[in-house]
Amino acid sequence: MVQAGSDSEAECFYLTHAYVFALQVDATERIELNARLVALGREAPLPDGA
Amino acid sequence: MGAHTDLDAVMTPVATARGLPNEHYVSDQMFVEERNAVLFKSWSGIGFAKDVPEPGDAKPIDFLGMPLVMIRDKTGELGVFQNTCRHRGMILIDKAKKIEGAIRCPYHSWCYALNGDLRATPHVGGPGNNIHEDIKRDELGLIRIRSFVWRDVVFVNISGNAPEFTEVHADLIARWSEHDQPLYHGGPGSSFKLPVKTNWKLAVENYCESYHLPWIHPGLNSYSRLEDHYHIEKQGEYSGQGTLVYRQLTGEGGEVFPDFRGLSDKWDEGAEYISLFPNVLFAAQRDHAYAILLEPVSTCETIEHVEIYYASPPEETPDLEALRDKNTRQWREIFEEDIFVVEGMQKGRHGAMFDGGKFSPAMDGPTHLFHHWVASKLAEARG
Repeated sequence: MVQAGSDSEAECFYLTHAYVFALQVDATERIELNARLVALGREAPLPDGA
Repeated sequence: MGAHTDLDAVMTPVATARGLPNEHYVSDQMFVEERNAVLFKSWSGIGFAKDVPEPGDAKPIDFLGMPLVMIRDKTGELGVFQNTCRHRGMILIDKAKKIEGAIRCPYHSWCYALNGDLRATPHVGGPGNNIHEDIKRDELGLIRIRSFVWRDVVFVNISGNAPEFTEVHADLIARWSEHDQPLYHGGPGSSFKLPVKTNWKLAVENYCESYHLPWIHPGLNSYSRLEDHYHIEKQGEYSGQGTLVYRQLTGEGGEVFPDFRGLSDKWDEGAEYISLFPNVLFAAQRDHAYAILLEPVSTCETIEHVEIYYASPPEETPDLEALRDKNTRQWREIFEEDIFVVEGMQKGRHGAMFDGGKFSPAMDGPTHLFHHWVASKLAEARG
């Protein structure tokens, strides 16, 4: 998929994969990855303590 | 065929009653009817809490074709969920494992927390966009199945509308309240399975009566005679047998298992063996307990899952390991003695002229009580 904004699309795509795997293994990086995706309007904030 | 079996003869008093008709043991259609009307509508045993001891431990279970998973969450609570992703229906967990963080569906990677909450829906709004206004996560958590742990057995109510476990089984909980104390599983050597070619109900029926003991278990009968037993009968809940001459197992050096704490004198030489309807068989004794979970696999196949528990953790009593092994061997031998009986009754029910059987009013009360309970559940579902 090559189109305007593709850099942003690619960023969100890879952030998403990193976020999913961080969630799966309970890595602390999930917090920052979640925050970045939320800031980009691509994810919902994690609940407290999650 | 299933809906037309005559249950009236089952629901008369034991002196005049007949047992459940043959179809209840040999018909696949009846197996499905009983799954829905009996096993799914009451509190059925599906597993053991000891199998998911730590937070994050998960164990999938196929219960009568229903994919379930037991999970211990971060707070230590044990939950049972339908093991099916809310997206495309993929099985989530295919083998027992430790979940470090989230349960990730292997198909499109929807992620669930250990408490079942839907946590992530990657690319659900398009590539790199993980939210969508029509994907409401708070409505798409894993389907939680009502569950309750008693004497380490995990019970579930699939239909979701049975009264609370503690209400349904208040009588037995009170009866065995002295035994309401920690049960420590004896370890790998205290666990075994017996696959038997029989309908699950015949294993229940054989367990709840003492009538067969002198003929099938002569070794047991050498010190625990038929007349030393009494019936246990609680209409609509459970039935079984008790003995007045329970004898502790003794090792070569005279060692015995430590007793459960604070038991009354009744348990010095008393022990009770109860079928908790529908599918769990329990024993309460002064120095060890066991649970047998009957897994109904098909109309004529059942797996008996046997787990033995003690008053002390095995790691605190390594010197009793040989005695635990001896105990497992003893019980295994006794339970194996019952296999030809439950398999023989299964074969016998292909006799087209068998009429459900004539009960002994003196000896078969506990067995009839179970038949009556099953028939009542079926009648209730048939309306």
